[in-house]
Amino acid sequence: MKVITGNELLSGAVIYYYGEDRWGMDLQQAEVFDDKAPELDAVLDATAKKDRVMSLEAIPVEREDNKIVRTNRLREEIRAKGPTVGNYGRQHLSEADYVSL
Amino acid sequence: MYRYDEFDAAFVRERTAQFSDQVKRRIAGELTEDQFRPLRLMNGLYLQLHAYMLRVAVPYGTLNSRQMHKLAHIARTYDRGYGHFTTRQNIQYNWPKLQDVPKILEELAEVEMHAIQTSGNCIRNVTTDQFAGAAHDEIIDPRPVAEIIRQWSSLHPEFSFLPRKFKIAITGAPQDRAAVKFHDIGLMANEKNGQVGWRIFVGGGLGRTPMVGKEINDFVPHEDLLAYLEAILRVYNLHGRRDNKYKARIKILVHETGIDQIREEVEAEFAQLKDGVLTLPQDELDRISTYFAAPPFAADADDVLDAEQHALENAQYAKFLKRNLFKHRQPGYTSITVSLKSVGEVPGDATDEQMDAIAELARDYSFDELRVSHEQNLVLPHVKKSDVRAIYERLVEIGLAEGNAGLISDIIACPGLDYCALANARSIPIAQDIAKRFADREDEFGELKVKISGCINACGHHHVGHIGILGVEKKGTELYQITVGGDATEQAAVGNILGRGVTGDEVPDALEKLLNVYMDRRESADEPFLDAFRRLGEAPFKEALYG
Repeated sequence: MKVITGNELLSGAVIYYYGEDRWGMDLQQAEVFDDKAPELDAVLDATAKKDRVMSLEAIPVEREDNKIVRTNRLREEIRAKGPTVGNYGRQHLSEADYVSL
Repeated sequence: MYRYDEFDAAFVRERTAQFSDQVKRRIAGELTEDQFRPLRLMNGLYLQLHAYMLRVAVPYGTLNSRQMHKLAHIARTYDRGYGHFTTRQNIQYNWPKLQDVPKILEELAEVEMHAIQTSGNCIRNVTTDQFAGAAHDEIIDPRPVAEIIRQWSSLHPEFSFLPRKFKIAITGAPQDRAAVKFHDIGLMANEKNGQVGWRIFVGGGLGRTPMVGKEINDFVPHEDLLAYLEAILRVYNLHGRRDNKYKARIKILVHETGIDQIREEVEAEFAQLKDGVLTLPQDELDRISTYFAAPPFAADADDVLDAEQHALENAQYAKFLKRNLFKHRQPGYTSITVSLKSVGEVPGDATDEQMDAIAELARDYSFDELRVSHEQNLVLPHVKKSDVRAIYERLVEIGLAEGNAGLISDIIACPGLDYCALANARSIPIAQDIAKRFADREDEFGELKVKISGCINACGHHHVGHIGILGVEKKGTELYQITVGGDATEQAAVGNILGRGVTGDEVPDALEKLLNVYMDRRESADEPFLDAFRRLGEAPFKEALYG
């Protein structure tokens, strides 16, 4: 299973594809694709063409009881939650940044 | 301190305007990310894990209070109230938004700063000794030459697309505090027949292939220095490998070609350039040097600082006096290291309030001068000894009075996987854990440089740590390789990898085992860790760690 993620253009914030052309910062709301689903490549292609999401990629995830419980790497855990040090949280995605998408 | 002339001001202004336009076009969709990426990188703007990161150049690590106040203002206004000082003597902001970056660059230009050449395959910001112009052991103040190199290398058209990035470091003292032998070019002041010139090392570096720079010339006079540097860059630009990013640095060229052949080619190129337009006239060197003239020191400043007496009153202050003062060339004065390594904090980070407070200390007590060290600390270079107590008390108020310069908690650590898109493992939590574990005992260990990198690119200089720690990722888990015996000074050495990696939780225990060997087997408390390692070899340390 995979979800689509990248960094939004204006803020650089980590975002996930929610489906139906919507994006946001919550991994739990990400649309989960089967690894070889044709829709996965279609979304990646369409997003790449719009060129508003950088470092675009599909990352493996595992799901239990309808929750995404694990990504494949610590890197993705940190992207999803923010730095493990300091109290800075994550980059904010403002209304304007959503418009960018 | 150097002040911009009309040429400097013009190119910074023009570049800021250009980048502002490029950002607008990117946001409007007129530039693709592929087109925009090299443009933003030329202006120090990276994309990291969570956000953009803006790297601002601090030329040879020198700042005045106005500039530091501006860095604080930028942190407060456009970022999250802090900045991260780096091993390149620069500052990085971790959370800027794209549309704010042109405004940040405009604000920086107001105080003669920019982010040009902090990324990309060009000559990067020149680095030097943080005590330059103040150190007691200096042969010559390297800052005028560093400034001339800055002017020569800024937007140098021939060297804007080198095979790979290129770093130059310079020291005017025989005690190398600028790690010159681990730079693409390292310059070390040298005296010959009563004249001061430059000993030149080439092909040093860290990263995945650490190399100690090799001497290419033992004496190049000031007037020929730019021509000689240009000759080296030309040979590198011509022969450096562009087919393989991992073999593109000059260290690989020097290693594969051999220093003798490289020298031959450089000398041939230099013969063409010598006595040409790059010859540096003495009057120009003198003109630049006036910007770095010694401040008006008081001739009658009190030269006494009784650390032992103070130890009876305040152990923390005594530790600060013992560790964070550096001998000044002027009697009655000292340089103070302001440690950005308070135990449990992020190495190299300073809040906007701390930056403002340090700027005020520089203005009030250090002739308006500040330095950033490659060890990720700040320095007040010219402080009257009689003012040290007042400065210390202010540093206590702002949480930066840790008396740990050169001790185990004064750790260099890259941002690691908490921020960096290239990292494989975290560095900062490891540094915090080590500092917490050993803070109470660190004075016993004496000088001990611990350096941590979150990937093989070695931004945390782990290869040259007395104890180096390299984070790697194995099957989704962070592991840390430990090296011992690295040395960034004039006795340059790359540390030995002791064996298999340990988990992050195990790192403090692993260091404790190494330190137990040192404490048990050192000849006396005067034998530093590194000397003991050189005497004993790696076997007892390896045995302690792996049995």
